[in-house]
Amino acid sequence: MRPDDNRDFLELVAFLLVSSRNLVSEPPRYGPLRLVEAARRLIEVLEERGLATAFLRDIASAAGEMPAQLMRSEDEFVQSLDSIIGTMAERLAALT
Amino acid sequence: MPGLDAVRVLEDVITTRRSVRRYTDARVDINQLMSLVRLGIWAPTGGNAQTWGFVVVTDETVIRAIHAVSPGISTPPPAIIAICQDRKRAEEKGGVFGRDRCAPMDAAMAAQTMMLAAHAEGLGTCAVLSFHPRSVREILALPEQIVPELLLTVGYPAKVPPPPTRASADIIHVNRWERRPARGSPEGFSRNDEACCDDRRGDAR
Repeated sequence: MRPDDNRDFLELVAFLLVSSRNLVSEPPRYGPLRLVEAARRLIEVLEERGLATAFLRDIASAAGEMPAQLMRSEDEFVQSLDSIIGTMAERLAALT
Repeated sequence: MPGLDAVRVLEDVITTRRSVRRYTDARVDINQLMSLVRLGIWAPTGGNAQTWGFVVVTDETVIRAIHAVSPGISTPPPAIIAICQDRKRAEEKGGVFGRDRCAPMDAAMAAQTMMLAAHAEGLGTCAVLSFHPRSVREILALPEQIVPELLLTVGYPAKVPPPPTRASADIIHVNRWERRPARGSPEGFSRNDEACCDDRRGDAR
């Protein structure tokens, strides 16, 4: 194991904890953004370890566009999120 | 005094700047970053306090650490300029008003000046307020009285976001709130009002 193997996990956990702390006083709409960003960063960590599937990479790519979408239009953001979640649900259903 | 051409250039710089959240891997020259700060400190300060300080960060490991404690930064940028204020000196110079009101605004005005200067040089920037101040202070080894007010990410844009819709002329009032200028009137808008006010810049977060 390389010395910095866990660094990206540490960074991800720091991101989650700081997000939690800051969201106490930040605008409520930042909450959904932070969760989407956390999903993107988690997939990024998985990808660095060769664990991300093409499906997850597509999700990360879509998630990367979402902050700008939310800044433009909440409807656009929700539609994108619903679309991704729908695709995710299909995948989960296929596993049952 | 700037001439008409300068005004047009400035207007172009102001209206085409965007908040950039994705950068290429290209490094930004340290001299260019220092130049941005030198321009930034020409921004006004309340009571000419100038109680600010700037930390120019190009070290990748430091940037990663700041990124981890700054949810407002999407991906680690090539450079960060931490705009700080000496709250103790700000209070000595301007009292509580200077410390709590002027200091953050002075930092914001320096940020805007630097963002426009950066954009004019082909660089992208994003002003970030969502970070954990105590953690940033720890990472940057800031003295206790030095407070990070804003983080400015800097780099070459990988993607320039489309302009969010800007509020139209409804937000502009003349003399009193609710009294809007009549179109075409001398005190009204001189040209293409709605189109001029819409489709403008992105926001910090």
